[in-house]
Amino acid sequence: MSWINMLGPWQWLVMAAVPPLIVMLYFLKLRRAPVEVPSTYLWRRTLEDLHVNSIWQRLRKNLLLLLQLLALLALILACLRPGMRGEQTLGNRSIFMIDNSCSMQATDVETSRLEEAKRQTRAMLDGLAPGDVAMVVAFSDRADVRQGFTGDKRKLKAAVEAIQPTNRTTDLNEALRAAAGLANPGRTSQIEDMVDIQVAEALPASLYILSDGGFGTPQMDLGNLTAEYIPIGNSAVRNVGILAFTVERNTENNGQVAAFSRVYNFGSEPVEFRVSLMLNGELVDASDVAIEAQSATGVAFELAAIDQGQLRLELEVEDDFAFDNVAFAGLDPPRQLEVVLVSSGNTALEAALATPQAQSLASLRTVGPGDMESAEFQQSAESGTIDLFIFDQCAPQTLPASNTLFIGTLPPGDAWRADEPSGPLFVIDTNRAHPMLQYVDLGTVKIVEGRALQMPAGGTELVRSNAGILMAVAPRDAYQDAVIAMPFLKRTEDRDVANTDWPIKRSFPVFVFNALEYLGGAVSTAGARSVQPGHPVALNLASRFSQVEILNPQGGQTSVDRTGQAQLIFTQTEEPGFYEARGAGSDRMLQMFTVNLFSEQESNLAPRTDVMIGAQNVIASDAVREVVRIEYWRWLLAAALVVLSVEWVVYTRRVAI
Amino acid sequence: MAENTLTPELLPPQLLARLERMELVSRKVFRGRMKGERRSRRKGQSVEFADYRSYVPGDDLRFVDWNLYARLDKLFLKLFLEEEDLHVYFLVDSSPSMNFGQPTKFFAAQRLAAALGFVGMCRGDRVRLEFLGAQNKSSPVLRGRSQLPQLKSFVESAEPDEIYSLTDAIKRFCLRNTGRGIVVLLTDLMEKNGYEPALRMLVGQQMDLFVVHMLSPEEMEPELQGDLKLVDCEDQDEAEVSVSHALLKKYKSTLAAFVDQARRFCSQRDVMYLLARSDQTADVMVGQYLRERGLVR
Repeated sequence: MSWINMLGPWQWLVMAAVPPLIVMLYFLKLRRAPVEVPSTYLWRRTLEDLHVNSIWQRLRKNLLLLLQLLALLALILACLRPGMRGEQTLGNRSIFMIDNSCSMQATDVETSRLEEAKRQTRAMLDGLAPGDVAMVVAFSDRADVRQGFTGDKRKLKAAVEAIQPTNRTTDLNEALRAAAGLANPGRTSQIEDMVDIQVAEALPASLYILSDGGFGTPQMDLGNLTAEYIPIGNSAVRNVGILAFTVERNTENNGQVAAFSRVYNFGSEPVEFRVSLMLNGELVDASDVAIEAQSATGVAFELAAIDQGQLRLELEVEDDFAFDNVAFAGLDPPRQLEVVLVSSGNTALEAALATPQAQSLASLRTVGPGDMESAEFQQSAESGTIDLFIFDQCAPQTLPASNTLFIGTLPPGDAWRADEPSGPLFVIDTNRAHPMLQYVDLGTVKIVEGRALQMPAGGTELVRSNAGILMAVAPRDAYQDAVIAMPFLKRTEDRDVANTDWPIKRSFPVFVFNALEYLGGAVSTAGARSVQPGHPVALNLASRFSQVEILNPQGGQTSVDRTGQAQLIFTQTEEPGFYEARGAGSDRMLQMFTVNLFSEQESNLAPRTDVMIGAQNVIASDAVREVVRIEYWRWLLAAALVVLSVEWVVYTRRVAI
Repeated sequence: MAENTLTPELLPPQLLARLERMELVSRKVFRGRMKGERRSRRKGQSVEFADYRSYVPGDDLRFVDWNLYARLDKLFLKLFLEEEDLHVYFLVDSSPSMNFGQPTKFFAAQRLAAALGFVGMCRGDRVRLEFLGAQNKSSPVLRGRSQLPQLKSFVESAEPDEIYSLTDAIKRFCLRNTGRGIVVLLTDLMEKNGYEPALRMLVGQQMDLFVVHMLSPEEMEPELQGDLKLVDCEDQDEAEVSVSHALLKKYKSTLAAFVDQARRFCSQRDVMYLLARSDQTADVMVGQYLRERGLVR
């Protein structure tokens, strides 16, 4: 509040003399009608009781005098011309774009950046002149028009107040398109089209972007929009954020899981802190980390073999943005595989596929070679819903859209070739590093007859015999084909003769299990997928569930119906954390994915001093509001008039003494 | 100021007829100068027996009770109460403040004094009216109903006087009238220096004192409103008031306290206090009000 002296010293003296004058006039002003009475004796006694003789006591209950003095006080204060420094928003059409992305949750300003942006918006709305209109848009990676153009400040403020922070990243493009569309409603392209009527005249508008500026460089022609960028936040912020966190099985050693993370110090001071890794809520490892300012470091953890689990990485550091101090990663459980065995009868193979371990991994369906011509088989082969086809001494006409294992025969086509059968054979080398041959010992296996393979380019030799490659695996588009170039049984006219003693060796069921795991893709080497908040995720789930339930980090559950597509798209990924997909009515988790911010743009909290919109450089400025003086003397004058009116009413009602 | 009018007849014939049958009552027995119809404390020749006393040589043998002597063989003298007249004074306050009201308090006091004087005159009492003022205007002693015209002419000739001191006027009265008797003081007690010294003087004269406190309806229930400058008709004293409901309420409580104080002062000194309104008729005033309060019977 500031005052402007409107009067000179002499004028003030005269003004100061007015209150005593009113008090004096109070005693003189009454034109009392003289009335003769027998005696003033009783009246004097009465008045003495009312303390009429005391001036101050007489003044005590005189409402009229008090009202007059109050009115005078208001007038004197009005002469002092009180006022306050205020701000007035310029422009008669304003668009307020408030960033409610994840980084606006930073607490480097009081409460949060979003609250600060809302406070500044409210102040600017207060500065709107009568007749001005404004609209409110909240934006993160998508735009949300909260209030269209209106001059109703109450509605505008309510719209601002209703804006809540989101966990999403920032993308200004959509918000600019929405604002431009509303600011330039009459845009049309059909000049010759006489029916195309412009619905409204394009009017210039002021666009106020209240953000920390972490939105890249949107490509947009602003047209009639005059953009003003109002940066929110302090430049000296402290933030350490996790930019990446993945978990992978060690491809060299399935018994190990490695968790990698990348941590960045966005602050201007070096920091030291502890990084904790928790598995299913329990601390399993921790590491002390020191990072220089504006530098990154990697933090890796080795874990013992786990089938599945939820890993949570936590930075024990206090900074202005706690959101990126936690990251989540998960290991998906082994999938339930769909395996089709095409065989005219192979007891040993069927026994190996019927072990409890194999059955827990895959559901097996056995068909005869003659069924390969059926429409049902063709559909299964083409749909990609079968994880592994095992062809035992038979081959389809075309390769299915799945991984395959050929035993004693070659895949159709020219990719694979083999020499003429020869024998006896013995194994001279085994690629034990390959997952299919882990814990498999073929040294003592006897083989009556086999063929030497010629595998396609990119193939991997698994087993070599004295004749050549006996077993190999090779990629085919997105699939893999494995070939064992020897039959287990040699068919004669009257009976089947064993071609090898491998099926009776201990290593055979181990190999079959490994083949199921590897070729069926039961165990993914990579961890569960991670998406950013709000981004959709595509889930490949077993087709036998027509409805899938997805559990979010808050414990909520969402049911999603499948629509026949192999993939299921889930979009409700606002909250960071673990999401689990389960078949309806089943407790078994089918797949897991995580939601993490992992955005350098969001974690880098330092507000940008200027931003680029298209080719236009928008410099941060607070010149959008002009400084004005808010005067109060009119209110004081009005108050004086009100008080004088009350005084007149009181006087006419003679509510005196 | 209310008009001082005597247009109503002071003592109408009907009232006189009623007054003839009344008698002034004194709570004391006074010794009169002339023989009258009232019992006197002095024992003398009358028909009303008073007491016996033993005979002493030299007593008038006519008053010896011979019947008693025959029975007791002792001489007793019969004593009789002597019937005497009574001095009755009517003191009417003639200050300007009495000249208020409709009818004025002064007129009401005149009429009451004349009526009570007539009662006394009819009973053979020695009646004297005195208008207290700067120069007390006193009537001659009036006795007997035949002097009614003198009474009326004296009363009607009186007018409110200029401002004076009630105490001084009473003092002058007491100096001139040392005898005992009944004193009826008709006043509004509006004495700024206090009415108490005046009453104490009358009480000191051993007189049987009756104070008739005259108040007009305008005083008891003033109908004033607004911002007024009240001017005292006696000393031109001014009091500025803004009459409100609260003030009127306060005035009435002050008046009640004033009346109550006067009543208490009188009762503590064996003075009969009577509050009278000036708008009461003489018939009601004398026939009911004063009879109920024992001044007349």
